[in-house]
Amino acid sequence: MLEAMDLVDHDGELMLRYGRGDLGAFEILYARHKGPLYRYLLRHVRHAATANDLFQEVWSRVIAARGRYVARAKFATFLFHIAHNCAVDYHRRRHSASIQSADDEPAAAYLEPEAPADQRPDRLAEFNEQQSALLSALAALPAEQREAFLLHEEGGLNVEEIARVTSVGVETAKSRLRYAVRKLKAALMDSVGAEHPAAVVRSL
Amino acid sequence: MSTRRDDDLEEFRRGDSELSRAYRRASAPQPRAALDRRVLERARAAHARAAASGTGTWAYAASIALALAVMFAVAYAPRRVERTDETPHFLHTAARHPNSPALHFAYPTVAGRAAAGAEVPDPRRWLARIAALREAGRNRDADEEYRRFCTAYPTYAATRGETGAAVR
Repeated sequence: MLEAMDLVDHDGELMLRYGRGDLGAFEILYARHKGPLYRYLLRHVRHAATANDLFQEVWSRVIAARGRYVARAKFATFLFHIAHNCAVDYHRRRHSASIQSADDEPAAAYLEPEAPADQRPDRLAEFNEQQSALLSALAALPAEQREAFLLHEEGGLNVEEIARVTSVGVETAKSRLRYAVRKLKAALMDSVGAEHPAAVVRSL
Repeated sequence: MSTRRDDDLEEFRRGDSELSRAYRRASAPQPRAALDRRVLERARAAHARAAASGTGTWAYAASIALALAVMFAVAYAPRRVERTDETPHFLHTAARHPNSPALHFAYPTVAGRAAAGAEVPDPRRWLARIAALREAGRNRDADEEYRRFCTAYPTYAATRGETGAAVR
């Protein structure tokens, strides 16, 4: 716990250092958070090109905010709050565009593989049915539940922080996370049961 | 059933559930190198712009400070010259009336009044006026006036012996 707090303070300190002109501090911060942020966006919007655009937009906003950043909460909360807002804007634009051009472009065109071809689960020999089922179940979750799960797993945010980032009450955030965990766990059990029925009880 | 769900959630929140482990074993895509370069380039560009505008800001602040300093110097220099005359305004008025009490109060001696540029009354006329006050029976006024006279001309009576009827 103490270690986690140190890390939190360290990230905030890095951001403050970048605000004072230390470019190296930003590079450390970027290396530490780029993976979780990318996966959050990719699995939240489920569109690789959009995830790339949003990823750049989030970091642009972080860069723009460097001079006025105040370490009130941990840096991940700040980062994923921006990411959430970018994703919300994207969904609004997409909704607006789909109304305007519903006949021109089918909704399915927005769905792309979540990873480049060389990283796609179905191309990796060692990737088994269990993880594939889990990611499929994650993609099938309602957006709010999927986001709550991703904010916890990728952002390392607790329920209170998820509530703050998504601007909902703590009980609502907790409920979303509970539903997500239940559905994902069920999907995991099904996949394990399909492969090794006897292992279901043991592993879960 | 509800307790079971809460247990599942608590286990998940602790971060060491089977679900978390399975999720972490799944693929962990990273942004491509080109995307990394773009973001880092943006951060460097913002840094460079800030450094450049920082120099500009410093120069701008220095020029503002210099302009303010000049403005203060121009605005306050004449006032300082004006304020070298510390004489209260009422004494300028009193100077126009040689025998006014205010002038006597401020400059009791003739030398002081002369130094201040005030008009110095003629001692003979002053003594004649005091004598006239005595003749009119206004001894108290005459005494007061004579006291002022002696303060203004401390050595007059002794050297000239001309106080005459001004002294009872």
